[in-house]
Amino acid sequence: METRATNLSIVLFSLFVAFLLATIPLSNTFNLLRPEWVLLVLLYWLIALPERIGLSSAWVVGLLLDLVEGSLLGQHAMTFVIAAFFAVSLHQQFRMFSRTQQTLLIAFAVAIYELIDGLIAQFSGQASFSFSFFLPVLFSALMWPFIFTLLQRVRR
Amino acid sequence: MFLLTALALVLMVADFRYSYLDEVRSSLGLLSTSVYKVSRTFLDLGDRVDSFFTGRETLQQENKALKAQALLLQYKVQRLAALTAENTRLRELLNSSALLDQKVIVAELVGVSPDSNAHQIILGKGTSSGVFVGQPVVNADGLVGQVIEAGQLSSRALLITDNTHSVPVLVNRNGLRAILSGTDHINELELLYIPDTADIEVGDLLVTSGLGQRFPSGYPVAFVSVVEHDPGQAFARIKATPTASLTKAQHFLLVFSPDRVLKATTGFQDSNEAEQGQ
Repeated sequence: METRATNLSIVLFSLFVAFLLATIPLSNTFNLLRPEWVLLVLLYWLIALPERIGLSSAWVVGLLLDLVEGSLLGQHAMTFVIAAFFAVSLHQQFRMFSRTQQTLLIAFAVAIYELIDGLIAQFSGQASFSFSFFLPVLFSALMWPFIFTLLQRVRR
Repeated sequence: MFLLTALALVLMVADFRYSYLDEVRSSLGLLSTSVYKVSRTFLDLGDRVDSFFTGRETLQQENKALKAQALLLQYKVQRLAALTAENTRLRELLNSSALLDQKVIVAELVGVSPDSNAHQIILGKGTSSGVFVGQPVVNADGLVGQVIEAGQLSSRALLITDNTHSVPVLVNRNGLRAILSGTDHINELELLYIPDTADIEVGDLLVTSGLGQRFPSGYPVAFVSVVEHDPGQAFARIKATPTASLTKAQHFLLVFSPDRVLKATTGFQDSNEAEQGQ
């Protein structure tokens, strides 16, 4: 019971740190490259604690990010759920994969997220679609091994 | 999964098409502002340590420079008082209404939207200080944007460079009217639907015309930076750079225009009659 409670507080704390990293003001060039911190941390917990953190948690976290970023309410909620669905359906295999394979899968999940996010932005007239949408995919993938080892350590 | 996706879709449509969710947004604004505030504190720590170790010499120099600047500004204000009085007298002679002073409040920058496509900033003043949606935001150098979401203690402002933002402007040199729109790029604005033959040159100052009844007239907005005439296009391609440094400023002014105060006190009917009377 106690480990469950500590687990949950670690999840909340790591997500809070991810929100901070996602909102720290950066110069315009770096802003384009900013990894999707919240999504990465969320994906980790979806894979590590699938019985506690599920699609509905992803939805709530996405909605919170919508409030913070001022995007359309539900925009991140939807994209997070779709990316999370992808991760959850593969979480059994995920543990058997090598680090490189894991990183590629994460990159794929983030790419799905960026694609749908970009399309919504396009349809709601926030931005025109361009390939710079995919720069964060690369940097998120580069960050994944660090996040994975860090959170793995914290959890133990 | 489908249920959640559908729920999110419904929310998005509700938010995009209708304004039911604005209330929810502004009431939860405190939560999102606190996230920005905390992430900002970490950045400020470095500055604080830095200012703690600033030498006496530097401070004295800075003090001297500031005093000199204050003197200069006071001198300018002295002349302004006389000019304002003269302007009022001349306006009385012309039988036109006197220009009222605009009230402003200062708001500090709390956060910048991390989404590189949305040029939005979060300001540390909200409805408790009288901030309202649609309020113009300026700084010392010119127009910055307008408030799009007002919470209790903070508000979100859309910058003029956002691609969903447009301002009615006029060319200060000859009074030519135009619409100035934001682009996807920071520090770049675009003048829309200007015929090839229009008299616009590089370096022209664009000021707010006040025609949209949202921004007060006469605030500097941008300098024309590029004028291109393409025979294949119906209109000239004209770019402009904002006068205000949108990415560097820390403090902003929220403007209360006097006619808004008037409208709020006398109601819609009266303002309608006033328009007809003109």
